[in-house]
Amino acid sequence: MLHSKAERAYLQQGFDAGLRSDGRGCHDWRPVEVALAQLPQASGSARCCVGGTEVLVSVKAEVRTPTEEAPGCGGIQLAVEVSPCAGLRLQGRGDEELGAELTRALERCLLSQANGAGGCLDLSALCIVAGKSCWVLCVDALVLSADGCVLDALSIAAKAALADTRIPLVEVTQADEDGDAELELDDDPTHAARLDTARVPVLVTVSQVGAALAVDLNAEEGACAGAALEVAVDARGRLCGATMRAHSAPLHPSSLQEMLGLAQRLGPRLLRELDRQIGQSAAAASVAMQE
Amino acid sequence: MEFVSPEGLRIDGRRPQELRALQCKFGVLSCCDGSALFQAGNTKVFAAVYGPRVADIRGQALHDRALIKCEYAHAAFSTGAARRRRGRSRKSTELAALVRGALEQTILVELLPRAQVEVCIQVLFADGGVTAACINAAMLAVADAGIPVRDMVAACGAGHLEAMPLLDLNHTEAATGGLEVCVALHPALDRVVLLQADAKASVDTLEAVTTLALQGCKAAAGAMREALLQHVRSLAARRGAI
Amino acid sequence: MSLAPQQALASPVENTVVGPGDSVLVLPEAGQVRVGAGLHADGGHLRTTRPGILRRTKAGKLWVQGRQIRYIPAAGDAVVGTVVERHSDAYNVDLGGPFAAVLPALAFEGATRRNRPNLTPGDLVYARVTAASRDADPEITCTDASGKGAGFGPLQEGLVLTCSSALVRQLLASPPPPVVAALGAALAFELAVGQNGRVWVGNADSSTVVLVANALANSERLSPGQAHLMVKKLLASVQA
Repeated sequence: MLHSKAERAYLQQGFDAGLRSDGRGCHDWRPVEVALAQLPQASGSARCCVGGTEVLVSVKAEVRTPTEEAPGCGGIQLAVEVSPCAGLRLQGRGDEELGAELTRALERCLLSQANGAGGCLDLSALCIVAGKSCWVLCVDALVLSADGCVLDALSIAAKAALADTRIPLVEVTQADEDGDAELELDDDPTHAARLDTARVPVLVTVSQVGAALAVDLNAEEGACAGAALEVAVDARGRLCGATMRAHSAPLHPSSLQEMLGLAQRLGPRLLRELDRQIGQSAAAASVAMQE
Repeated sequence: MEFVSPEGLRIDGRRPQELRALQCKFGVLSCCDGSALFQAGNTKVFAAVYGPRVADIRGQALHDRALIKCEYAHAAFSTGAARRRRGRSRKSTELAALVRGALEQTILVELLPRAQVEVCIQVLFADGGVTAACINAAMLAVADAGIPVRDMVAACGAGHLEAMPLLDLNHTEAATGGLEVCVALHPALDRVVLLQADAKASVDTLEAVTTLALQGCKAAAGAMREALLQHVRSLAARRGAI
Repeated sequence: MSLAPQQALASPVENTVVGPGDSVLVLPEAGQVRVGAGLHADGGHLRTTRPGILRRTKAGKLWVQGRQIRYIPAAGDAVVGTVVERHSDAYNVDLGGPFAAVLPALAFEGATRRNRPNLTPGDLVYARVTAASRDADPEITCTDASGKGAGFGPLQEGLVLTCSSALVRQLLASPPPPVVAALGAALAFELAVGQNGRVWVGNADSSTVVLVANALANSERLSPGQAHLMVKKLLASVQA
């Protein structure tokens, strides 16, 4: 997208005055729409639309053997793909590199460190038979359309998809002579277990445009942004991680505090809206199931 | 496993010559010039069109006609199979080439010299008939973008199982490895622009299956055209133009 | 009412919705048929090349009114473009169409070799297309036919709205659409409507520009009465 100097100067002025081209303030998000259960073949799925950005996340629960370091825990595997439909290749950015970058950023937010600390999901709840079998959640995200705020939308959709995930009930029958237990999966969706996603954080990207700090920049505003910080915040406003965006401009240390503070204030607000939409979606689904 | 029951019903309850339920939606993605969603049964494909625009690699532009480029991707969650290695496989390159071939016959490329039209296809779920769905989705996206075309192009697949030609195979039926044919047709000009047949078969069988597939194309073309006209009508009605 | 694809007619039915590839007319052996955008002669038939509504102009030309995002340059159009490259005697200007246009460096009102506007890549211009053939780059100029400025020229700070050709046609209709009339009655701003799907709003303070841009973007799908109401609501919310 070509942006003339006049437009850039105009957008900059708008941010300084606290007014953006669609009438939002610097700290306002575009309307966030979340829809659950978009993919019937997955254990859980969600679609998130923030303005023109659209992402789809699918969660498939698979039975695998646990790792040697954590025999009593399950696992999460994350992969983000950017669809060619998003047209980013035409703007000179490689889809695959961007996919890898987004995967790493989302992993930092959702996954735990190697020593098991910092995780947001209780992985020990995913264990089936210690040392033999556990659930691994394969989270696959697809970016269909990108109009800025892609990482934030991905984290919202990932959290919603995890909330929508149903883990089938497993019956472990007696072990035979080899010591391998037989696993029987219960297909009934009403017997399935849900994940506790209360501690899953959401990523808020705070960007600096001129002297102002703003969230949710669309594609053309993003072209005018200077430094950008991706902050993971949970529902209680606690920081779960902060990373400077890969190609961000240098950041002045004094702005750091302000940006973190802004993310801590706005994150919980976003999460409340997300929880409300998830609740609505779940209520509608249970009504439909009863009918 | 029996693919056609004694009562004449297939595993998903269809008759042998019945097409799956088709669904078409337009303007589903906002960042491109035209986009569409095409769904046949469970197979769901998005297509986005960018163009006509300046060729991004100057050397590739053709002086007397437009350059059609096609990108194909399927989501990691699009098949029930275990996750395989992502990236460009031979099959995806071939599919992209098939879609591009069908579109080159359809788009009036002589009207847009030195320009480029890029078609991007994203498969969300693959339940058989993927090639046909990709071509149909691409056609709908091209129509949504207003790019000049000679005619619509509609594609459909058909196969041969248990000594009977079956229309629009789903994944389970196609996985048996029997004959599967994919055909694309220009309905108004009445000409075939793509024919792809896998597996050995006698000439009679091939003819029977191809004829069935062509009938499927005509039915699909009718459904796609209706959906397109409905979309134009609703846009025009909202503007007060009709 | 819509046409079946194979139904060829002796005379086309206007103001009906058509799909691509529909035959609207069987071309006569001899004689003239005047044809505009969206139609193509193939064999003995006149076929549509895109979906839309079949219309006939007052001059008797048949064309298909469709929704097209990408701009195809045509002589006489007024366009809003962005300067991409600067050469010694011309600028390359991006119009959002398939090719960049050429703007001669002296094609401004009162420009001479010594005294001419100095545009750099990234500047916006409002210009008129003078030549647009299929095989060559389109040419544009910032003067009207007699050499006067007539509102063309470089554009200062403002917001550029990208919209479809349908909205642009509405904005350029005369008399001006109710949305523009209502906004103009209440606010002071400048509008440059480019037929390449770009509309520049400027020369006003930022809140006015934002309001006007949003009102125009929203007005495409509204009927005249609804557009009036929308503008009233927007103005009321700003004054509040």
